[in-house]
Amino acid sequence: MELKIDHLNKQFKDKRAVHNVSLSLTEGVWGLLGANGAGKTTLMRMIADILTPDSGTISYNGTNIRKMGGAYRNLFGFLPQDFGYSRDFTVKDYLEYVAALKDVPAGETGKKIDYLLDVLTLSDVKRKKIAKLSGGMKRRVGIAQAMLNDPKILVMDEPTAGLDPGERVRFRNFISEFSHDRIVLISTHIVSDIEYIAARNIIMKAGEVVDVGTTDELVRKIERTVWNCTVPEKDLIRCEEKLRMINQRSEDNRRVSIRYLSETPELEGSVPAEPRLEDLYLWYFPQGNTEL
Amino acid sequence: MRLFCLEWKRMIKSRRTFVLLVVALLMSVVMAFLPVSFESINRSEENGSVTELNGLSAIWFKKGCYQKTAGEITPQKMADVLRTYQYYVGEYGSVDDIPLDIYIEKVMALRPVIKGLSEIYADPKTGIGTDLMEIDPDEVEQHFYEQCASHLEDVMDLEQKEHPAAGQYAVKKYAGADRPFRLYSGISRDAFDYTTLYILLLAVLCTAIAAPVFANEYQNGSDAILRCTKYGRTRLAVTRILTVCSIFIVVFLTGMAVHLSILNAAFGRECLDTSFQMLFSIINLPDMNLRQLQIVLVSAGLLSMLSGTGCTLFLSAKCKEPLTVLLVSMVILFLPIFACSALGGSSWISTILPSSGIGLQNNFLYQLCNFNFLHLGGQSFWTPYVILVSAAVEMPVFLVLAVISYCRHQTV
Repeated sequence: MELKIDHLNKQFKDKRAVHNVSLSLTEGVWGLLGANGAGKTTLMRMIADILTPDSGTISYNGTNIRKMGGAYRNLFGFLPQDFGYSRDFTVKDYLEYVAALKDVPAGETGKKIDYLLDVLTLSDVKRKKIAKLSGGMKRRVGIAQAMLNDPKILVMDEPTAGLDPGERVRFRNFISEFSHDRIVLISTHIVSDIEYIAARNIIMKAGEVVDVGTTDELVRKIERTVWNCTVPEKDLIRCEEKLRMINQRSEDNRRVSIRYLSETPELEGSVPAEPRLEDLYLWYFPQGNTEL
Repeated sequence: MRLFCLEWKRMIKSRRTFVLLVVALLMSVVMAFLPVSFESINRSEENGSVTELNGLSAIWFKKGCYQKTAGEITPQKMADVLRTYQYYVGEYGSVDDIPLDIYIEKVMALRPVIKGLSEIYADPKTGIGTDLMEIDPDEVEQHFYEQCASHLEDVMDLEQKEHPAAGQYAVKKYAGADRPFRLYSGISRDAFDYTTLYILLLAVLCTAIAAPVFANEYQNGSDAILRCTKYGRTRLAVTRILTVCSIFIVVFLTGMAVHLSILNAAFGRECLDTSFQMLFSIINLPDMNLRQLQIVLVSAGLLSMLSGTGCTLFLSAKCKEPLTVLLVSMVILFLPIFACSALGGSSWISTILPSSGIGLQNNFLYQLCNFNFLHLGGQSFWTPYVILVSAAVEMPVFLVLAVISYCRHQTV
């Protein structure tokens, strides 16, 4: 199973949203990382075939998805960044409606909905209006609708936004099980959500794919660029100005333990730290540097 | 079918849609009640006092009086009625001077019969009507229907002098009207005005319901999910359009059935056997009675409303803002009304827009009552036909465009 993206381009007026993106997505969970405006959502919408690329093609197992039409959409599940719904829908009505659109057999719809609501801990709110649910619950309804047709290709844009830590853990476990023999593409700012489950990660910057690889392959590229050090509290402001700090933690004796990115150790006593995906993200996208 | 049922459920469960539909049905009763409530007559009592009757009691009282002249309007009958009228008016000097009890007993029932006479004996050059007292009953007895046709020719000469094809068409059409005319007085023109007004109201409510059908989902982002599904493109668009149209058809027909049932029950069903010409102008062209007129008004109103709905759905599939769709749709709905006021009933713009048959002065009933023609080359077209053909052509065109626009919509 292969979803091949070939030289994909999309421009919005003077903004180059996606530029010459080529990827080959195979079975497993793929993490899509990038700052705001990097082109992740535009890329996902083109994969979902709800946005036409200016040039380039997307093909599934060698067939252009535009030619496949309904057959491609039958294999597809999508959760957009902003989960929209009709205000008068209850959770059950909404899922029944989407199931009909996805051609889930009427006899199986009820069981399927009950299963997903159970897994996503939404059974208690089955008959409630979506508009009255909390943000996290709405997000889970969005996840449920994407999975109604057991999609072979599942694309989710920020699926964990609004979920509490427990819900995120359950989501990660669910996706890990679900991703067997399927292509799952997840975009998120919460790097830890995909760090543990993504077989591969795609890093986008300014509309281009700047790196692709497993978490180990990617973080290896920033080996000896992540450092730990303990500094006196009074020096913290100077350190923040001078260094690309990742985090800080207060220690005893008015000292602070800091973690920073640098090609060489900047402070005396710095020791190399084991890099993580979050470090890589911050390496590519320094804090506050969003791409608009 | 499953999707169609779910779409119906979705639409009807929408509080906004539900409220608007309930309003549509409630207004059917209100719009039937109003013309009934306008009916009024003074009745002279045996003790000399005068009692004012209103509403249903006025209608029933009038119906009793009108019984005498009900039936076919033969030239003989027309002449006899005119003679009687002239006798009583001659006796008392003028209609206004006839004592109320005598007027009600002897004269009131005559007036609906002879009201068209002053029109058909009008001066052919000026069009000014002749006083009923000056019309010769013997002449009426000899040539009543010939005079009707002759007057129509005069009118067409005055109004369509440069378009002889229009005059020829009108004369031919009028010749086909069933004669002798029939008259079963009782129902008022107000009742038909309120029927057309109710159709306008239904069109406004349906436009308000149709405007957000696609645009709302563009705005809240839910279409991004729906259009990713197997049936989320053409089938969803077609199903949604069919759902909207079927809901509107059901509501329209139910509303009209309630409205007309109330009117017909109040005014009496026998009134519906009256010829079109005996309630409106004696030289009107339609070959139909009032029962057929009600069917024609409902059919034309439904067609125009669906055509307007098609236009609204197309705009909804094209625009992202439901409010913009609503405003533009309302402008298109009301444009024929303004165009008719500004340019007259014989303008293309007031007749070829999707909902041209719906409105105030431009409505289908008034077009049937008028001699408005549109001209193209040497051909002349009577506006009711232009309205029907335009609506019939535009409805499927707009609906197909709505499907195409929805399928091509880009989620940015």
